Amino acid sequence: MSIQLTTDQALALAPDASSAAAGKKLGNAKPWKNPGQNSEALWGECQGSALYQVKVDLSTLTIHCNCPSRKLPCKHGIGLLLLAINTPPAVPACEPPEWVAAWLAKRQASSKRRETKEAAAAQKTSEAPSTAQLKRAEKRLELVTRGLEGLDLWLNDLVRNGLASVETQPATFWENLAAQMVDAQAPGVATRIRQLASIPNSSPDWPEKLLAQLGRLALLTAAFRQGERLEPALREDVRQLIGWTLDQEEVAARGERVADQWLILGQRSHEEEFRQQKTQRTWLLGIQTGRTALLLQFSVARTPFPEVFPLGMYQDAEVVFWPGAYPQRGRIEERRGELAAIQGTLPGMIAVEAFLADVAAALARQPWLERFLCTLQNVVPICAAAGNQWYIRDSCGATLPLAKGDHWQLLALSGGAPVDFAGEWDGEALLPLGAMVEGRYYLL
Amino acid sequence: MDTLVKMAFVGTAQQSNKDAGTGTAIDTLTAGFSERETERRLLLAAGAWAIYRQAGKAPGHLPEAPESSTPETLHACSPTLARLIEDMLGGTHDNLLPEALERMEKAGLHLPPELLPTALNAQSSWLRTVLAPVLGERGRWLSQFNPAWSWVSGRLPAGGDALPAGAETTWQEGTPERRTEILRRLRTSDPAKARQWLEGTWKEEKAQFRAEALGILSTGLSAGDESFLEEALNDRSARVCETAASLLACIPTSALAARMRCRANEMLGYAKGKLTVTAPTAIDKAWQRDGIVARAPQGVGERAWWLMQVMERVPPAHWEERFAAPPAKLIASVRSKEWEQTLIEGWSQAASRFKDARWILALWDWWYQRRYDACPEQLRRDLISLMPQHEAENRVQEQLINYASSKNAGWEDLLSALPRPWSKAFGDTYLAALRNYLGKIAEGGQISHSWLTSSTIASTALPPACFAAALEPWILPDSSKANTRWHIQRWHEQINTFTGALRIRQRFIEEIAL
Repeated sequence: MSIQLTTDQALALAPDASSAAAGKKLGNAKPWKNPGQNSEALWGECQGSALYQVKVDLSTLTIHCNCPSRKLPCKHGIGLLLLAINTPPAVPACEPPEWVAAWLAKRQASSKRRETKEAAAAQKTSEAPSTAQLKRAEKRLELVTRGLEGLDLWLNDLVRNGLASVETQPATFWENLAAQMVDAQAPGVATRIRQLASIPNSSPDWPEKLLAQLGRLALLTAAFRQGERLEPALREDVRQLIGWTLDQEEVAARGERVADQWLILGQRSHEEEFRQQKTQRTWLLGIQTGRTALLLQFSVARTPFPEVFPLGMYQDAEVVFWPGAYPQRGRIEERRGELAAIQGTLPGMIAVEAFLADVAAALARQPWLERFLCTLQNVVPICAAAGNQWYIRDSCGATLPLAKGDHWQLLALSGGAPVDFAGEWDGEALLPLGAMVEGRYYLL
Repeated sequence: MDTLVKMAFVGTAQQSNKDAGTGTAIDTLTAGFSERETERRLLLAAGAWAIYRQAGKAPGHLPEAPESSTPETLHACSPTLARLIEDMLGGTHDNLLPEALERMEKAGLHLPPELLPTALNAQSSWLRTVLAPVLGERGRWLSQFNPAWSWVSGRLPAGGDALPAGAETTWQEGTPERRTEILRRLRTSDPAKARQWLEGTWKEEKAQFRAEALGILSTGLSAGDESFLEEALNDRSARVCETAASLLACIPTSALAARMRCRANEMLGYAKGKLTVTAPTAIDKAWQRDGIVARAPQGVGERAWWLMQVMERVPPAHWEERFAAPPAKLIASVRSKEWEQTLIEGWSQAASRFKDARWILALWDWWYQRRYDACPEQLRRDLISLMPQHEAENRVQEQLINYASSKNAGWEDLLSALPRPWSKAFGDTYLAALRNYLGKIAEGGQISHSWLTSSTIASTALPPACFAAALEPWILPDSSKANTRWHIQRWHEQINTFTGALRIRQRFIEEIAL
């Protein structure tokens, strides 16, 4: 297959602007030795401080390079992609050299190995757990229960003394509580508490925001305590929200699988000050099923995210969802087709009202959901107050606000005419991810 | 603040009424809570209320969408070109933007929408000038939303010198930028009408605008402008007077030009092949009214200063006629050691002001052969830039080949004054000279900034016919000596930049068919 990527999409793979810029510089034939491609992969040797071997698995766009950079993908990988896109004759189709063939064989073997492992795990989950496992699980449940009881008392105290009192509290006020939750093996709760720390004094209506989050937390502990009375799917959600994690095998064994053509619409990441942890959210939309999948990745201390998703592309694939009452978090389990650029129209709702109704229905099933993918057809971006207020407006005149920031790119692309829009809804505002304009999908 | 929030904010300990409702359907739900503690009840109610509001979020409403952009009248550019322009706007080889964008304008292309925000954020005036014609309808539409982009509305739609519709209204009511642009265009097509428009509003104009607008009259200047300009000599603003005086000096039939010739005639005499100079010893108010500045800059004698200013304002052709001798002969016959250089400099300024090619060539040759070190750098550039291309190139080429001579110091500066693109012959000469120079850098010596600078100029000025030769591999010598090694390393980078720029030019010239 010849490479389907556009320059934009290749650059969107870069972890930051400096890698993209450095990649651009390597996107010409000069630094490359023996570049080549076949139906599965793309490879070449790049002359940097040493001769680096770069290879790209075309089915997943996984880029591998033996340079010492900690960025993923590194500039050599981006450069090789750009070379293949912009100067196809420079990357002739040929037999892969030994170092590429070996890598491809190894990747195939490891994906086989994972399948066998998953099959084994599926079998294991159906088997009865051992006594030692049962004992460990029981001990953790006890720890969490006691931890959450402590949290409830703390919350009650806070409300008794008044939220006004947190204004003068140091950061350790929240951090100490979060640490207790970590000790109680409820890391999900700990994360929620750390997020609370940024609310006081962040906006005029911060008491309301803080109270809303504290209330959601109280509902979570209440739901946990009433675990037995909840339907099983929601019980899964509550456990995950509190911090019980599912490993890959458990997700594969218990999660719902949805095969579809998945549009990879966009990505946002945010850094938590604490421990420099970075969370990346990638939003997928299934063309046939209309299902949304949220792919989460985490990185600690500036390590690169393990997987790179080619934004603005789509692929026939199977996504497996974490079990829950409204499955949203997913993982690409099996890729079946080639990656191709998103084209034509974007599947989506026509009316803002319909989107909000969907959000309400989702919340009725899983009330702790925070973010939703929003795809709307034929909406007009609107700039008001000299760029300080932004909206999108559907054909009926209903509007949703866009997140704080500059959306000039979106406005320029639309020219005031309707476009198909993809964004992330956080309950307050939409964060644009991309727009389909005249059949071409632009990342925002 | 809602009751519930207020209660939580102050603290339940401070409240007598312990049950706060939200006034929503949530209240019936919370009434059924089995929890006893007020605090817990409040927290659970707050959680339910938060989700209730999250789920019940209502959209805003905007009955009318603002007007959308009108369809483009120009053509879209190719994706490859869009990418090239994007990189240049991003700062790589941005010095090539004027050539690329001017070429786009000539080909009738507009920028793609995704590049508009970056383009509109351009800060420098030179960049804005070349961007404005390629922004397209979309760009102008977009610019209205951001106050930082208001510079766009100051520029008229592309269209060379044609007057846009409603030009007279724009002239009456527009922003200063638009008004000067209207005046400029009208002056090109109908000089008399442009002057009449300006006369019509003259009394209401601010001093700065008066000076700028007057400057525009230098295009299409004629005897018909004289009475208006004479009037402007009495203006309150010194800048306006100065501009009016220098324009009047350029109208050969004007009274001011005649007065100036009269003064000049007093200063020069020619007999038996000898030219004598008598510098003025005093000047009066009438001289100053005609634009002569009385006070000399530091380091310049008053008499020399006055002499030079008068000479600057008299067309050199006047002397040919008056003394019936060709430029070179007159220049060679100056017999005054004391005033020779001042006179030549005055003549040089006049030659460049009146764009007299024959005098320019003769004067350049005098400077170069006699007192090149004393010739001001700006004057050197002016003279070169006003020569016919082959004459200019011949003269710069002589310096380029003998670059090592101390006399030719600053030769690279003249490269930038040459008309662009260079001729193929000159380009070839330059490339050969550069290769020759680079072949010798391993021999040591000081790093030459002149050559580094020259290659940057060449990368924007070489004609496409020279690209193939310029992109032949550049082989730089190796060196084991530490200082030359650094020098060679520097040149490796420079050659990369140089060839990189040429490749980009090659690509956009291919992409923009004219």
